Amino acid sequence: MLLKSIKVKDFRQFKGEQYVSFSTDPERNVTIIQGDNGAGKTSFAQAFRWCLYGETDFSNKTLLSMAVSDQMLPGDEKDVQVEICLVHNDIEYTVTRRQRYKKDTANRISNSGRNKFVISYKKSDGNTEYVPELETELKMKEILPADLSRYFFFDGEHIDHMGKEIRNGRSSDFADAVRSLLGLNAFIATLNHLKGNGKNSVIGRYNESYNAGADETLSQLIKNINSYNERISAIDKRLNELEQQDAFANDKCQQLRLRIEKNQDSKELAEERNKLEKELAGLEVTKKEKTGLLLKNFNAHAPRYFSKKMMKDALELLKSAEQLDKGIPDVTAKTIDYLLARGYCLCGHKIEIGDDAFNALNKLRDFIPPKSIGSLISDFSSSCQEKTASTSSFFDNFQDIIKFIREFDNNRNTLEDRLKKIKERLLGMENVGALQQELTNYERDIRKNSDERDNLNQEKGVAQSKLQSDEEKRSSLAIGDANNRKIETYRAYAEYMYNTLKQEYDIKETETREQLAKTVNTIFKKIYNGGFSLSLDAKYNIILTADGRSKANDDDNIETSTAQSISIIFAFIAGVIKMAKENQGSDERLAQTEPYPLVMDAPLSAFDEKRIDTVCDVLPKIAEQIIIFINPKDGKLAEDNLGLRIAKRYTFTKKTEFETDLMEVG
Amino acid sequence: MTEEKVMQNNTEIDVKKAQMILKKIIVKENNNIKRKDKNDGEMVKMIQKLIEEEVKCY
Amino acid sequence: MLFTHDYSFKGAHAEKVKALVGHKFDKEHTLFERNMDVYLMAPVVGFLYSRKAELDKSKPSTTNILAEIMIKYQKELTFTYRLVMLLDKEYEPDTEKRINKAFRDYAKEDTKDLEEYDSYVRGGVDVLYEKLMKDATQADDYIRNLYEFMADFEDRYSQNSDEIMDLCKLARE
Repeated sequence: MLLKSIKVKDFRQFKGEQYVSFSTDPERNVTIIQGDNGAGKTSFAQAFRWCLYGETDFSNKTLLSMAVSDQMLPGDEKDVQVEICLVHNDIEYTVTRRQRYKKDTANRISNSGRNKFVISYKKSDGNTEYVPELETELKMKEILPADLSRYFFFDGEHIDHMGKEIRNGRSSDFADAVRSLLGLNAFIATLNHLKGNGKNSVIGRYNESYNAGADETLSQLIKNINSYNERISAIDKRLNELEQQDAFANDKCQQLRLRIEKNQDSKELAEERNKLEKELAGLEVTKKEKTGLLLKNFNAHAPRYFSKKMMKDALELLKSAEQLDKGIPDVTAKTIDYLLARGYCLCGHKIEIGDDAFNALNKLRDFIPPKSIGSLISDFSSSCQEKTASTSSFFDNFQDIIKFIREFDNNRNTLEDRLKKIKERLLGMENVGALQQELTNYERDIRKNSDERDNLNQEKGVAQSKLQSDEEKRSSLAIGDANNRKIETYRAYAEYMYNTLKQEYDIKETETREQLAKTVNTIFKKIYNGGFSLSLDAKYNIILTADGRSKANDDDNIETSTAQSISIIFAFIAGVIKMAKENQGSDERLAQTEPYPLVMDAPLSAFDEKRIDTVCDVLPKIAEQIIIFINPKDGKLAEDNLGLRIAKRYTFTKKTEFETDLMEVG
Repeated sequence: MTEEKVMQNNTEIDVKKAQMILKKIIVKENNNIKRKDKNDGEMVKMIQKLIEEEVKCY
Repeated sequence: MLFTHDYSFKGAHAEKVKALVGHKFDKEHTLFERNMDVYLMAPVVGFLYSRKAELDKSKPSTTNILAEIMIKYQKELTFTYRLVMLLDKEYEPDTEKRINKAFRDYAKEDTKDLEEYDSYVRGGVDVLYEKLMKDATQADDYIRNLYEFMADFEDRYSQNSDEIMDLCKLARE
């Protein structure tokens, strides 16, 4: 099957009719569709699935373009249609799917009837023939079964999902692929019907059909057997749940460990930040103390300090006025009056009015207060001396404190710079403590589950052995009753068939799994020549091996591991397609010589240059036709590496959030 | 072809017979996968009928 | 007697004194602790910067110093008053008269002399405000202004204490 063209009408972002024709040239087999994320690449990829199989992954199931439905009036009807032209077995088919939508009076859009699916083909005489309506689904299955189509149509989300599974070491896609490749759905159905859902299987029903009659022992045995069976299937159900919980918890643990590792630094940084913040706060306190001291000094001493110049000038002035050397300190006119009145001097000399002593004392009045200011000046001079002395070290002290403060400022600036840098680094980081706590919780869950699983397995073992012994007892008792004897025989046949079929199925599954893993590995090594090998274990866990030893997937940097998992996906797709074509046994669902397309998102920029080269070399060889969706930033990479292989180029142009145009380029 | 017998749950199983039943079941399952005209319950009943019929016959 | 009554800063000067005493520039400290601290420093600063200022009546603002505080600092205030009176040659060119103003007339409460003194107080408030507060926004600005103000004084006058000591000794002989 090769795709010739697709025509979408009012499908999601694609308003009106939009048409893309694909290259079917065997040499230049690449068609590139370039568009920004969100421009509609995924929608477009889904258009294929919807047209061919009537399925989509949209959470909003309405396919009608919003740009169209917005303009509809209540009662209006509009059709969404996708038409794909393809070639299969040299016959040209046109596959059309159409869904009618109606707007109700409350302006709600809803499906109007079922979608119409039509397949027509050109007969050799050039006339168009329609596949009968009842056979269209079968015809489509013949062209390409839905379950296999997922390996030819890969949208970005599917690739993302696979990448995640691969990084976590498991892939349900592998399991699905193997089952699809086996083409043994009938086997699986038979196994389920024989011994599947407890009472609702053949064996379950036989177990219920024994007739105890009056035999109390048999009655008790039947009861026991049923309850053991119920218990065992309950345990199996619970074990299954536990396995899923574990898978989820393990995924979480792995992600958390990665994040913790990536953000390990943040713990140390946060500690340093706290230390620096404390230091900084300490500096601020000290600075305030020093500022307080500075101002206290300033308030107390600055006036005297400032007045030193004035004191000097004043003293000089008084000296020049010869006012500095007269007078007796603290002696005033009152002192003289007192001495004269009492009649003798300080020294005891008698004073008489008009004598020498009397005259000398009276003359002194000129030099002492109030008549003279000599002693005042004397006091003033002592004040100057005292004040000067008290401020002699004032400016030096002041300067010292300022120096201290300046130093704090410098230290603070250094600390603040460091703190700023740490905070910037922390900004992009996560809190490791919280992550660690989350991890611990998940790890505890896993341990708890493991304990529960051990208990359940033990209980199951006991129940199984009791069941077996009771069944044996029942067998021997059943002989007594003809009906029971028959049931016993039927049941034994059913058991036998189940076991035989299961064995065969397991062998086939293992073979296919191993073969697929081998094929994928061969291709993987071609794409990703990084010295890694790939294998699958019985539970479809993907194991990457390097240099002979098993390695975790994410030991390199993120880029490399992304490229690695995309390489695995590519190899996987290529491997499935290759095997699907080579290995179809009984039901030959894919013709070996038939070409097939590969429609996919190609995140080229996830690779380094060397690998883009190999990917672009391998891609066109995987399938006969390649239709890839790429980001504009990958456009040049694709042109550089696929250049000559590219026959057609289209671009998505986003007009509005709900409308995208498709255009052919060059 | 010599008749091969094996024991299953104390019951003798005619291998050839069992294989034949199995083949019939798988054909029916295969058809049902394509046509989807029977549900699981109906399929189970159908299988029981096949077994019972075949075991009774010589 | 001088400096025994309440003193009031008025108008723009009251505002400036309030800022100098009231603004906590680093959320904790003010440049001056009390109005009295401004009153002690302002006349010296006003005189040295030759800045006098008229009583401002443009704003109704006032801020006071109580008489009891004035009396407590009377000796200190008188000392500064004497310095100003002795050195204000512009106000009184005659040396003998200046000495009298400083040491004889102070008791008389000559309103003209005190008014001269107060105009230096107001001028000093203007200078302090301009030098220490104007244009300062962050805490560090205030500290830097204070230092520059001090350093200017030191550079301009670099008073030598020894010289004063010598002069004082002379007075004792």
